[in-house]
Amino acid sequence: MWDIAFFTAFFAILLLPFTPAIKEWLLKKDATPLWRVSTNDEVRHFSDRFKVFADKELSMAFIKDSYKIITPDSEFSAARSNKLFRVIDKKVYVPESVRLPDNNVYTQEIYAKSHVEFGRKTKIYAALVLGNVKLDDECIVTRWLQANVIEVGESCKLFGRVSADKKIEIKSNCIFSRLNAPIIEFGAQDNIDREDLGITQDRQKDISHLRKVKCELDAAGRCIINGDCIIPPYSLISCDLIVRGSLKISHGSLILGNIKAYKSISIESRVTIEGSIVSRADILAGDWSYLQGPVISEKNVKLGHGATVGSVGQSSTITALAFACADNVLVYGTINVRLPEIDTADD
Amino acid sequence: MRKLINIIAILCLVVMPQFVMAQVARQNDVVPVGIITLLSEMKDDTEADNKADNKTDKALTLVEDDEDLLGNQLDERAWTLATIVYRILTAILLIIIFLMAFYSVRHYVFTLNRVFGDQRYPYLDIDSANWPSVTVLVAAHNEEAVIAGALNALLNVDYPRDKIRIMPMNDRSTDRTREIIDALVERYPGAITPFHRSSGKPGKAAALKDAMKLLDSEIIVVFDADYLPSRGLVKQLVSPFFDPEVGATMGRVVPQNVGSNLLTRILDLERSGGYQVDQQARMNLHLVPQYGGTVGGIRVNALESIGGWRDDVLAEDTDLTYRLLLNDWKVVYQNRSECYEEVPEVWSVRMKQIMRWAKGHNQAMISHTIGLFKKQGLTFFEKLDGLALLGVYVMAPLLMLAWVISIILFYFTPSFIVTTFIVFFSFVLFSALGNFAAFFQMAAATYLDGSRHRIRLLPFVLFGFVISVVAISQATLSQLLDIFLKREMKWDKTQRYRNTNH
Repeated sequence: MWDIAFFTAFFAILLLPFTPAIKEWLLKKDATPLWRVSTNDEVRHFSDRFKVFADKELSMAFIKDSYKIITPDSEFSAARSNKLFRVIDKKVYVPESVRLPDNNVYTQEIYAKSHVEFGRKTKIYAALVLGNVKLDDECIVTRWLQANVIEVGESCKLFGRVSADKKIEIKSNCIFSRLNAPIIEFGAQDNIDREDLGITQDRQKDISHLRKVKCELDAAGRCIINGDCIIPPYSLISCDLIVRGSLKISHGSLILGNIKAYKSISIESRVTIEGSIVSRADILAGDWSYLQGPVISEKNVKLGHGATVGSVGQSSTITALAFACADNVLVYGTINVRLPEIDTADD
Repeated sequence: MRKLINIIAILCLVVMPQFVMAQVARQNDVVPVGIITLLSEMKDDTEADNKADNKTDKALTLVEDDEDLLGNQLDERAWTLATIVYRILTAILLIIIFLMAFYSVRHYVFTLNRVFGDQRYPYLDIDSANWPSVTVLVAAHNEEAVIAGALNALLNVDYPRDKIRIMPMNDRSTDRTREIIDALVERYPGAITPFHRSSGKPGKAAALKDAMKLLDSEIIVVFDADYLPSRGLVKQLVSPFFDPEVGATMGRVVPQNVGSNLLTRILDLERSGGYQVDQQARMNLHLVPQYGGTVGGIRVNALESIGGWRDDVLAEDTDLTYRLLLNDWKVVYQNRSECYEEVPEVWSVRMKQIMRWAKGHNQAMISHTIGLFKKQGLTFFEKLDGLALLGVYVMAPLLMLAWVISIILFYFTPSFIVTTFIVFFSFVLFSALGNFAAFFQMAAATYLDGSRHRIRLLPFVLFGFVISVVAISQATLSQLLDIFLKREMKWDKTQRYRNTNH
């Protein structure tokens, strides 16, 4: 009797986990292939899709009513000195150039056919502006923003994707996660021509004053260094460089290949790097340095005054956990910051 | 967090073997008198039963006769021999337990890292750059069912047109593969460069070797004909090559025919565990992510520097991973670079597939283990993970061996508590930790994928596991025979199931 009870209990416990398994096998509740990301990574994916969607909706009279239409002479745009937050929970359509009041919260998409100026402390869910955009101080973008030219005031927060057809200008104390434009300018710009300083990707420039560094190359033409490395001032390195430690590139040097360091990379002023820069730690670029990139850091990237990443003819990418830069920095292409709210200023 | 996981892993690796060895030391005093004890117990049981049945005298006489006979036969030499055999078996069992424990800890470390640790995707966001030139090679041998789908998907990828070339490698197909490729070449002039191969050594590695002679690009990306790449996939696979240390990249393979039957659903779980947790954890921990042969890119310069493709190996992907590693190149895994593939829908096809993988992997183990030990410039954990990866298919026959030894020892030893504990411990390790650590990994993978119901199928994976163990053990034995008999190893093509009309 006890034997039967024992074996019955044993098989019941053994087969218990198979009950939900058999149920799922027969009912096939979760038997579709894993959904995979296809085009969502493209920086303008949402704005492009929204344009198609909005153009179609606005062409249909009955759906058009679901949009709040704002014109320069409407009561809404006239109320400039709004002190209280006002929530606009409809999609917004702006057919002409307009300056929108302070303290507004737009919980749905904005579609503007011309220039738009957002007042202070505006919160924008997403906006597609075919003209130029000016964000006054302390504005917040939560999802995406696409325009021709974007001018960002002080202390703004740009989460999600922000892209411009021509230029993005960013003032101090702003945080952002993903920027894309042919030119991204940070802070006040000096009236100094970078070409006059020799800070360009110009292979014809005079390199006679540089000392060519002899490197021991592997079969693939790379120089691999175990430990830390300091490259002396005015050095010329023409191969790919891998440093299994930290790397310091001294003033005025020119690196024609790609560089990688397991620890931090410190780049002094007026250094030119024509390849990519990869580090498992921080990348610190000095004043007036030129980096063609991409600049890939698993921690922080900091750019000094007058630094340039990418060039007019060849855009580039900066990708890092956190990003900080001084004034007069130019980036041609894309900046991706994974943890935009980390403050790197005092590190 | 990473440090904490490392500390836990080290503690487990250090403490567990010491614990086991302490038990061995204690049980060394035990003499293998199991058979005698067993017979004595049998005698006692028989006595009890016979008394109850009132047949005591006859039964006792029989048992006493047996005992006398045995006592005469067990002379000094047999006793010593039995002791030696017993100790050898115990030692083998303990070594296997240790290896199983090591692999279990490895699975747990990977899973915990993936769920709680820092995740590394350093190259994923590269959007604007001076992209290198790429040739996409599509390996095709009798792929009329799938080749058009793969090429159409590749024609739609997001990559500078002047930097990409699509090259289907039609390797001596006897079906309509050539016809379909030529029709697509005609429809999209200049976009596809076909490579029809009608002679030479069979196999993908040999075809790749021949195709390399036609290439002038910096990077090659290899797909199988049944893979359907997404629009951003090529950029994602190429972006790590901006790192001068990266020799190869690997994307994630996702089964497309998941819902076909129970086997495809089990394989879907296994793939999830293998990529979503195992590969990404190795990427996170700076270990050895494996190049998988397809959905991956290779730097041509790196490939040439390590001697190019080898067509004399069964698993060119594993072989390449280790040759790159031994020549100061890294492999990068891109978890978000997903690509659909077909998985076997029939058990016999699955067995053939895993047997081929096992043979290829073992071949790589023989070729690269010593090199990996000696290699300078790799961290201790990189070497350890590299060795674990090389030995992963040897564990299946070892596990079967351990099962056999456990059963022998169970009957060979007395009912002594320590020895029983050893056997019990081995069973616990095999079933609770050794096998199920991998299941834990799969469960974490389904959680990370956001799949809510497929996790319930986990108990069925046990069947897949047992079949895999048998298939891999069979492959290993066959491989040993191949080596002794100097037979050439055979490459089996995996059967495709997709409808031609797709």
